[in-house]
Amino acid sequence: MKSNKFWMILFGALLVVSGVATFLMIDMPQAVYAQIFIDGALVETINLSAVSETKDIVSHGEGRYVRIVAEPGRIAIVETNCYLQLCKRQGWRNSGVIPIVCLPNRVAIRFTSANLPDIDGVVG
Amino acid sequence: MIRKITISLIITAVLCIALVACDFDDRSGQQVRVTEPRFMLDTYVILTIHGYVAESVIEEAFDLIAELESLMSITIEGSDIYRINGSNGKPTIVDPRTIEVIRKSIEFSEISDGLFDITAGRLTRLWNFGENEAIPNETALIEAQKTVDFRQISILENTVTLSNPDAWIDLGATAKGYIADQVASFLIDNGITNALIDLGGDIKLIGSREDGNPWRLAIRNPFDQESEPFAAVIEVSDAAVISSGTYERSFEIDGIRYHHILDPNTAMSILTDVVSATVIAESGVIGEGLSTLAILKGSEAGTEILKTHPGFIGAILILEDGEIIEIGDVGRVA
Repeated sequence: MKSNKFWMILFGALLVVSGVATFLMIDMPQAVYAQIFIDGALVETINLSAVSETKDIVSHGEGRYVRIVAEPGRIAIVETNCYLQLCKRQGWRNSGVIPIVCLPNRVAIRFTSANLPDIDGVVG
Repeated sequence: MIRKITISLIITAVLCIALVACDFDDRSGQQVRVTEPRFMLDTYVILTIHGYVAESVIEEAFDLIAELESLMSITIEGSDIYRINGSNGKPTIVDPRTIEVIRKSIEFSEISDGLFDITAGRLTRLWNFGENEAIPNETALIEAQKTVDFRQISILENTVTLSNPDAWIDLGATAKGYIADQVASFLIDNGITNALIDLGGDIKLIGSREDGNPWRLAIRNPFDQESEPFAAVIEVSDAAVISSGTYERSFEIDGIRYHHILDPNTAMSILTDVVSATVIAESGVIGEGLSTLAILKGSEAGTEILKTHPGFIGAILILEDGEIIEIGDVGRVA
């Protein structure tokens, strides 16, 4: 009888611990990181979920100019001196498999998150 | 009591070891994934390799891309193409790899009755899609159009001659695919068994993902990338996946969309029912040529060409009315 009680308490405790752990994992918001590459080199990684106030990143030199702004949960290229401004036209982004790219200024913003679709590459 | 505590400790220890073992096993199965981006070929290039790979191999792969770009670019001074275009009709000695791409391009010109034509260099530079959003001067377009004819290219051993001294070659519709093939061969020769070579959306795949499954690629939605970024998802191994689209490098004036795939007969963007053509092929150069051909010829004639072309595996065509046509083996999963 005492033996049964011991095993019940042990497995009960295990169930409670695993249940709490599962609940915490499911409830935990997945962080989205924006990685900023200039000339192919990673210059900054920003946890968009943890940004509390506006953050400015400016890349300039050799005729290039790009201003990136990160706000809580999102990021955008807000100013650029390239002719077509295709990167700026992409607007604010909070995630995505497709990076924000400014080819003339050689700047790219890529997103990493456990929530992103399970995709290795994008064509088209 | 002591016996029970001992048993419970043993169980806990076994569980811990099992958990750690699972984690360890998982990590050893995943190996290392290296992803290196660069700005090259006027696009965003990403090399993704997994397995055990020396940093020097990745650098040498990028060096190879730069070397081939320096041969085949229309804008880099001193490139083979730059020298041919500036030769005033005289024979130009070039690298055998440049000749290989020119020969392959001529094949595409022949099977498309000249719709696909690498001597459209003056036209493509006039339009300069991707850097310019204006319709070029009509007189200039007519003059440029007169220089387009792939039959004027003659190749003798390692020399290329354009009989019209005003003509320009542009390998923009085949070179990236060829370069992807060359990088893949280089990586395989250096022991790489799994890699994804992404030359700005022209992708060549070696082997598979870390989990042993085929690589998963998404095809961009040409219509509404905001709410539905992808039109399809495919799984592919050991092949090239290349897309062409009328929505890329394009602009709109007075309700008319002008895009970068030009019709040499009109000097304007081709009128076609295919908005996006994604071709899966054994090689990048075949995939790139066929994806452009599918746009140029339209869905009906294009499908016939694709299905019979050596090295073709499959294709997904997205038509202007939203219809999606699958040809051959596309490995579509979504």
